[in-house]
Amino acid sequence: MKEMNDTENYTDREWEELSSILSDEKNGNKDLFSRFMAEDRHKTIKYWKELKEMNIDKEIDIDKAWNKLYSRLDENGLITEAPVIRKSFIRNTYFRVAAIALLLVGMGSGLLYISDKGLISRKTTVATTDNQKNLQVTLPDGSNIYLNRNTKLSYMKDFNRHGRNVTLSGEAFFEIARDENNPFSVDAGNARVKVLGTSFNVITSNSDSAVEVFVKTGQVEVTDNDDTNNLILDPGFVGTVYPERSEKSVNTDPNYMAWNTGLLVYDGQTLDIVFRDLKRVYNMDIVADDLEILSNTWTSPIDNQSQETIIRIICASFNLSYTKDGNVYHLSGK
Amino acid sequence: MPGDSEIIRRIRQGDTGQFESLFRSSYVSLVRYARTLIKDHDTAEEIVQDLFFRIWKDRERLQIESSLNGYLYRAVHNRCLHYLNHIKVVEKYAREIAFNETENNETPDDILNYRDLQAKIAGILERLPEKCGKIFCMSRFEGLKYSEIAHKLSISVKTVEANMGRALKEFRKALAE
Repeated sequence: MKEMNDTENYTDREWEELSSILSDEKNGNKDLFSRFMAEDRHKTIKYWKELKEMNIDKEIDIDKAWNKLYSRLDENGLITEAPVIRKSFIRNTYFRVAAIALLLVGMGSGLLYISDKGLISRKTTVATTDNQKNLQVTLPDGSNIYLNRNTKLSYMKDFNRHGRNVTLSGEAFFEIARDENNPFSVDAGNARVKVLGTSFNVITSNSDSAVEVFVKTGQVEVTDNDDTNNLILDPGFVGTVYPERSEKSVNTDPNYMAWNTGLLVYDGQTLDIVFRDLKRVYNMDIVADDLEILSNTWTSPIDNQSQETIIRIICASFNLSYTKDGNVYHLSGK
Repeated sequence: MPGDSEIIRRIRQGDTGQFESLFRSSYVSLVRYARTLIKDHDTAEEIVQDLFFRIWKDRERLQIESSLNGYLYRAVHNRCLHYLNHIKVVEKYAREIAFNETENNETPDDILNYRDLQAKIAGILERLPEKCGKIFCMSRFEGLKYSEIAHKLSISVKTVEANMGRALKEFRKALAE
């Protein structure tokens, strides 16, 4: 066989497995690896590994590098805008958002800096897209917040100085560092959530514009906009603030926090409920071509498996087959 | 994240935020890549910073035909070679490699291969789709585990595996050429 073609000796699946073995991700199939090694005239294995190994000795400080580059650009007159407060991007998933939002919440204009491309505030905003969930944000006080899909969280840069306050739209789980002297509050739609140190989940994206708060640990106080309907919530309770009224109840859904944990548990629920949860938690679209399929019941847990695995287990359980159309799985009887 | 052409368009228009974001998301990978060719760490950092300085300075004339990722690696690669030629350290470098390699009982052939490797990688990155190339760089140059890459890019580990398989195939192909 000609050298140029020897990549055709392996299937795509085998290339995947080989790359996992060479990248030390898993042990994999020994025979496959031996065959590859025996044919490795071009030292693929050696170079693949070396690319990584020759580089691990020194830390690279991005902030320092950016500041150096920025100063150099500035010295050469290449930064034309008025001085703005530049802040670190913690990974590229953090976005700067124009200050329009700031105006909406009615903060003073003294905090705004004008630049040639618009307004940049001293506010930090973190947002997730449709494909992103569980983005972890660590606040200056050490509190952790996990954002679900399509969620936006913002807070002032000097957040610790004048009371701990953040603004949320979407859904997020909060783990708040305890500070008796400095309460933590969340402005969420038409509700405000106030705590000293606890963990809880907030949803503002419900279709009826109700704000929902679920408490995992500690105690949480929820008030509405005009401070008339106060709810005190203990662990396990869900409080809902509607525009006109508030109510609380004990949470009975074991999968309430599944978007964050990835774990779904069932005890004989029908597949339509399971599919609704899979959409919510794994962003997985499943369509049953025959509605009979949906009345089957399900009792096993689903715990962070890949979409492919999940759909295969479902098919095997009920003797179904599936086809994939774009991102949508279609189920039908065999 | 915006696509390549949108990022380029914004940078051409003078969007410093976009520029900073591109810098921050690709800097570590590019420096580590430069380090595979240039042994001196500080020089590797300077070369990458200088590239970004030029990109911003000449942003209005920025034309990128291939993928943005491919363009950046190709540019770093060319700058590294230019640097090596310019200060005439090529022989010194070769000796250094030869010295290091003798310890491992490598043949002189390997030394040539080793230097060609850089050119091959730049070529691979231009052939691979944008996301696949990015995943390859995160694994090989940033040293991230599949699960870390999956988390950073908000994709499944399975997708990382599939893309790495494709990258390895391309890598092997390029080594055979």
